[in-house]
Amino acid sequence: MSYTHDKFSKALRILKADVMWSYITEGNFAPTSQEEFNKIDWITGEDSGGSAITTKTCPHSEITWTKLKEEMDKL
Amino acid sequence: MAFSKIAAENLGGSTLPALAGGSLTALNASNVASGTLNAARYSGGKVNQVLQYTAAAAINTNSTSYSTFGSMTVAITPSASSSKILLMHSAPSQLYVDNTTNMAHIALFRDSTNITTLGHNSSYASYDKTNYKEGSGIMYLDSPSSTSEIVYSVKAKVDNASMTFVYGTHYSNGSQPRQASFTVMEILA
Repeated sequence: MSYTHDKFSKALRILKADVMWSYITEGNFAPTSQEEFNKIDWITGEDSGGSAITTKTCPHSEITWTKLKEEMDKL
Repeated sequence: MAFSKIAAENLGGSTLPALAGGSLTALNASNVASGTLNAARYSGGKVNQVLQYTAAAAINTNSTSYSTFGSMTVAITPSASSSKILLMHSAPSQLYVDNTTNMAHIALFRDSTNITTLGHNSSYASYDKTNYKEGSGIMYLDSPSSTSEIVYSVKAKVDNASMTFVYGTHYSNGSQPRQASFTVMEILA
């Protein structure tokens, strides 16, 4: 099952209101599996040039693939 | 006395002697019918190398710091420090933003430096009812003054983390990404 980018964004904010992410894809606009969830860049800061500092390891305990999928399914 | 025509036979031989270039006072380009000009005589403005990345790539972000479009990155090594680099970014056919008061921005970076910082010339506003904007391009002529490898990249951010910017979509339900391209040319001085 594929999800829209709108559901993806809303679901993330439901799980954590101030979360910042960047999801680059050449396929579906929202992750559809744990493997794709692991490709999300989570924003953790900003460097001196104004670029985002990111990690692919989700630093937010409130957000997991299982919880994200659950919220997207509800929307 | 100016000669309009010199025939070798009239000089007692079958071939004319070589003329020193310095003896010529004018040579019209139309008189050059064959051979190859030395590159040093016509190098100004010549395109020395062209690199391009195209992809049906998309990014969904609410980052207030510039995030790299993973694939929209080109590395180029100028052959001379006087060369200029022409950057041409063509965005997908439409862009999506879900906020009516803030803006999303797309910028070109040279390594870690944003080189498109003049006002909002590389921005996309969201003020229409559908929240969809036609894609538009960014062109920039850079003067890096370097012969080392330079990485140029396209990055995006939003003004407010409460908004979402989707680069590369066409439908509100977001089916498949649309094509974007990033072309980099080295122009010799």
